[in-house]
Amino acid sequence: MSADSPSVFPPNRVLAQWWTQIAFLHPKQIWIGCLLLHCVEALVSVTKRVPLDGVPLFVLRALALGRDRTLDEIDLQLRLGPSLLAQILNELSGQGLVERTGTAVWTLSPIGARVAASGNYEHSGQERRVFHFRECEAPPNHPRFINLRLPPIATIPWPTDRTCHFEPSVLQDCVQQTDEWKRAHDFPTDVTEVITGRSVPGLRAESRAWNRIVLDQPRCLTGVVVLVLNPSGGEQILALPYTVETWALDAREPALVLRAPWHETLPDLRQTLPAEEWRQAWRTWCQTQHLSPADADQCELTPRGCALRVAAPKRLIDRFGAERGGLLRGERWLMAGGGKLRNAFRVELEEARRRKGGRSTS
Amino acid sequence: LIDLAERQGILYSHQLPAAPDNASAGSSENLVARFLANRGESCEPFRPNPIEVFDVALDGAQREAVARAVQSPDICLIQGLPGSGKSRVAAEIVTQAALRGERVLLMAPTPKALDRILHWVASRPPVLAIRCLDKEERIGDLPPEIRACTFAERSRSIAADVRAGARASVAAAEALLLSLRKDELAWPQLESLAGLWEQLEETRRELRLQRQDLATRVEEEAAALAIGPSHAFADAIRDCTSSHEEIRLRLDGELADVRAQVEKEKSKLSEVLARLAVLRPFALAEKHRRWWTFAWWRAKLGSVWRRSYEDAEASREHVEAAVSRTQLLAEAQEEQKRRDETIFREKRDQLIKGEISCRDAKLNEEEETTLREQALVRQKWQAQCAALCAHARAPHDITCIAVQSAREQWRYSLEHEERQLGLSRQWLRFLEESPDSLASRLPKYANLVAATPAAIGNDPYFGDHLRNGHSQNRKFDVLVLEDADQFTDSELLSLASRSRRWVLLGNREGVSSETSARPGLPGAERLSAPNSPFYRIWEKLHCDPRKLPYAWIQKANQLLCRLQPVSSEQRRWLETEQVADFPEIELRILAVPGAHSRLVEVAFPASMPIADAKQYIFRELQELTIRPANSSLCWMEATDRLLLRLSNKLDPSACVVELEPGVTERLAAPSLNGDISSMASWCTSSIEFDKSADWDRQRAENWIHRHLGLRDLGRTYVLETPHRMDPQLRQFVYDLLDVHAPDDQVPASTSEPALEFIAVASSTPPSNSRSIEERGRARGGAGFEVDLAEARRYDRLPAGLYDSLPRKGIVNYSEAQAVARKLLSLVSDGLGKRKSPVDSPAHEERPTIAILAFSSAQLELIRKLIDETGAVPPASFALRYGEPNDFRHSEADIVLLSLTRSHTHRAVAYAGDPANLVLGLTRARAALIVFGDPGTLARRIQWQGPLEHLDEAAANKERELLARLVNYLQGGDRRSRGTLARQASGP
Repeated sequence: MSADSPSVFPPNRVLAQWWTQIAFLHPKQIWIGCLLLHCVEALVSVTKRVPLDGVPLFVLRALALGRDRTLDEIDLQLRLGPSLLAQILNELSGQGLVERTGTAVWTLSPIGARVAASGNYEHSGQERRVFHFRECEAPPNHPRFINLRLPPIATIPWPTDRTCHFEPSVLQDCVQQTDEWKRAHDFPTDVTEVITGRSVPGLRAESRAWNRIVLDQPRCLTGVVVLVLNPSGGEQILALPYTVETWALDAREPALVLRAPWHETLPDLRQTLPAEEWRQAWRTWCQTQHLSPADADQCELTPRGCALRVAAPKRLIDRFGAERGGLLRGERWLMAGGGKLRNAFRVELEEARRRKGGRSTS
Repeated sequence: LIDLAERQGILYSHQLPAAPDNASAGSSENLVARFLANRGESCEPFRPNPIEVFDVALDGAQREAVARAVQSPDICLIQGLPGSGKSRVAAEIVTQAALRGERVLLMAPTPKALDRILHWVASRPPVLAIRCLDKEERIGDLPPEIRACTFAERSRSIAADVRAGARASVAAAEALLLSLRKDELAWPQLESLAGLWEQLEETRRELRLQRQDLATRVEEEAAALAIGPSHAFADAIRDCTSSHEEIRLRLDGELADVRAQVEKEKSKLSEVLARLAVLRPFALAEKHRRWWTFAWWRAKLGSVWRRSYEDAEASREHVEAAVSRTQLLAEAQEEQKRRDETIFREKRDQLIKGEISCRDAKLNEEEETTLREQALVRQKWQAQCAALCAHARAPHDITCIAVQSAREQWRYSLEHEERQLGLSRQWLRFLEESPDSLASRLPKYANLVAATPAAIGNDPYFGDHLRNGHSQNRKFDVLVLEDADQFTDSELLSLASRSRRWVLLGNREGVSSETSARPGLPGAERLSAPNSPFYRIWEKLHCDPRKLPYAWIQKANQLLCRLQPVSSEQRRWLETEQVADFPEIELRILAVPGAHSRLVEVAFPASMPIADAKQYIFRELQELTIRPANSSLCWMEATDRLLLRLSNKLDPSACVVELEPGVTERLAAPSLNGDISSMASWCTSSIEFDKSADWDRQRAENWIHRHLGLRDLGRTYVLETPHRMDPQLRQFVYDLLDVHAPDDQVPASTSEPALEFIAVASSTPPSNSRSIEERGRARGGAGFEVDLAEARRYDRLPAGLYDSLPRKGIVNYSEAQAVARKLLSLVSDGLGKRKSPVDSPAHEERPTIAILAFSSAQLELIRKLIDETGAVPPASFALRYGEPNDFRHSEADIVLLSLTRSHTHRAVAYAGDPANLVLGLTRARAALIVFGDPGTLARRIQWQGPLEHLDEAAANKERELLARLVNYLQGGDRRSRGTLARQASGP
């Protein structure tokens, strides 16, 4: 199964069940379907400040009290015992925070002195890390960075009808953005540089050349994207992953949380659909219930949040047959739109009051 | 792929090739697994460098073993004889690994084996050991030093000790700070005293200066005071000077007159002389009658000049007299003046000297006063300094600068102590607020985890179940496996996955039983020595030169070089052929039908020197036909040569064979070949490489590899010296285990045998001339053994003992009595004579006597008899009872071993496992006393094949061991001592 398969969209009973799972979020709007992802793995330089644990920090501070101190002198202060103390010093030495100047004489390294004062230490290194970029379906469709909180387990292959292309400079651009931008877009601030083979001449001669290859694993994340209000009153987007095989939705652990300005990351998520798309979705569903488009058009459609209020004449309501109960209880869902991520609406059916004149639409 | 990635700038997952199915399995498989699965690829040889060991008592071989284990990039296997120090070497390996910052997992099949190593390393500073508890173990049952290593105890003690230490640190720092602060008041006083002292010093300095300038100043004053203010000295000087001036003025006046007179007379004389100068030529011309001169003629013609001349002459005399008179007068005047000046000077000097001494006395007086004041100041200074805190450094000198410097130092100390106190308080607060902080870090910081396989799997801190953040706790840098020969494949594989390097220590092949069941092994899994993974890996890694097929046998009629062994069945296919050039040399070719013919033996005439024969073989066949005695390649380096030692025998008269330039083979004197006295085999002692012929270690190793296919990979080592034993016992162990003993370890003869056999036979008088075997052949055993499971045999035991003995097992009452009697005699003779050759391990406080038997029932019987006889050794000795297996990893100074079995007519098995027999015979440090029935023993060694519970292999092993024991006791080996001591009387 791939993202171009229609079976990525859940049936109505599943949507009704999911609604019970996500109702506590009070969604303002719901989209369901696939997010096209580039899982880009690259070698990056990372610099992060990490707090030093209590015991090693005290060892550092005890060492900071004198210039060259023997194990016994430090132990006199902390009384850890020579064996344990030696282990801690070895660990600190491995981190480059202390240096052994004699057989059993230790001194702080310049970094260690800073760490002893601040309690934090700057850890620099290189590691291969995965960054997720979402490719928009509508132009401008260049990939946008998203910070997936969980590894994308609920994924399916990339759609066959869509070519996969990722320009590594997009990742470079993100890394070179300001810290403010990074914080706003949840981009890791500890990443300082992307190391690629192109940036190092003669790389191919190196035995670890493979380590610098930028690897893109394009996947599609199947998820329910909900627009909710956060406790401070702002809008935020949550993406709740689901598996297509079992229709299991994980409503407790969002794979993605986007605060404002989420529109920059997900510009193709439309909050207000054109009325014709509502109507088309309604018509399509009505056809499955053996109602003509003319009958469908007699209903008054009013979108309200993630609900679609349908005011239908009584005679039509009677014609819904077995579906009528579900419609009246708000268990019928419709999906509108034509992309891989579609707006989902809970149909709230009510009897239309008789009015003179024709139909009305929202 | 790299090219594609470079072109695209990125690689897409669909462009990656599919991974092979076995890729993940292959990558995770370690070297041990590959060896055990017979997929071990050859390892690159490595040559360890000497290391500085922590345990300085280790000998060269032990150090080499440690160096190999510590520096091996992957795996190292060490074999050792009983008592050769394997545990001690393991302890050193653990310590060295810890010193190198490695995390060590120490595993052994039993807690006892672990504890033996832990006893060595637990107190070593580089090691932070954690001992995992077995399921059946209770922490309270462990010895204190081992208990201290358990996680619970260590975390408790660390938390408690560190917190107590932190409190003590805070208290000490507070007290120190208090006393330092008290010193604050002392510094102004010290400064004031220093100021006063400096003033006094200045005064003294000025006085010294005054004294230095005193003479000059008085002189100057004397010169100046003449016109200065009047005081006594000035007046005296002035009086003296003025009177002197008066005299001088008068004399000067008189002298001036005289000089004027002189001048006047002199001018007169000048005039006269001028006149004479005019007249003198006439007088001279006349006098000398110079008539040819104009003057003579003028003088002749005139007469006036003569009178004038005479007057002038007269005037001249007169004036000259006047001149000399006045000059004398002037000189007298001057003399008078000089005398007067001298008198004046003397008088003046006297006055000045007097003044100087007077002033000097005054200066002295002032200086004494200053010194007294200084002494007073110093007294106060010392009192102040003594009152300073012990940690404050007193000023090194009584100066303001020194005080300032010391005060700065004090201030620095104060600040330092304040910082220390601050840190100590923070530390204490941290420990009190997070009491588990240290315990939670303990698994991470422990660099030695000691456990049995059963304990490690379920350990809460290092077990297999650990996940996520704690999973690194189960990973180690080195796995040290004690008694590795007792581990099964599955255990070894499971443990090997926990580390990246492995050090395996096991018993020397042959010491381990053919089949042994390790206590506690699930399903009593039995390990047979050839199948033990330890020995299988050993086979792959160890380079054993004894596996070479060559032999040189000196027979009465020929010298035979064996190139390949030929079985007796194959001998019929041997064909002989004479060498064309040397018909006396015979080639023996094995021509088995259907197989390729091959040269297997070369026979030389008996008269041909071995060196010539060897050279011939090397030259003509390019075969290096050496016969080593050692099981390892041992390279040694001398200043002028490299030596590959292949035998422990060092024979200075060894035969030397020149092989090629710079390479020689040394042969040891031929030894008799078993019981065939007419044959002797030649052994290679060493191969030597002359450095002056450009041989270095690498080239020599390559040469050996090329000619013999031997290369020491550096990953195996054999410990062959049983250190803990008396030299005689050591020799016995060599013989028992059929190990080639180094010549330098032949024991010196001593009056008291270290190995004693006490025969417990029937009451028939013994015949000393007959050997054990002869006695056995003659009439079998004494039949003293009683099987407790057979009720009808109970009449062979005293009535009172029935109820207190177990219901099954074999006992030998006579032998038990003999053991009790021997112990009694040992006690009465004084046990001090039996001294252990090496220091007992630190944890064994008292020398130990061990009573060993293969049957627990026999042990019980002996214990009762000893209790009855009261043969309890003094409190300074520890008496222990046990089966040999109980003494694994421990030993005793004196061992009394009861063999127990005594059957009348058939062969019987002694130990449940031959390994137990080895254990029982190798546990003694100073003396081993074996009790047994010689007849039964003799029957046993005659019996071949399976016996009782022993299968054929185990029974043969036991028979071999007992045969060597008997052979040793009977002096079969030239080095053994006569130890068949006495015979106990029967019942």
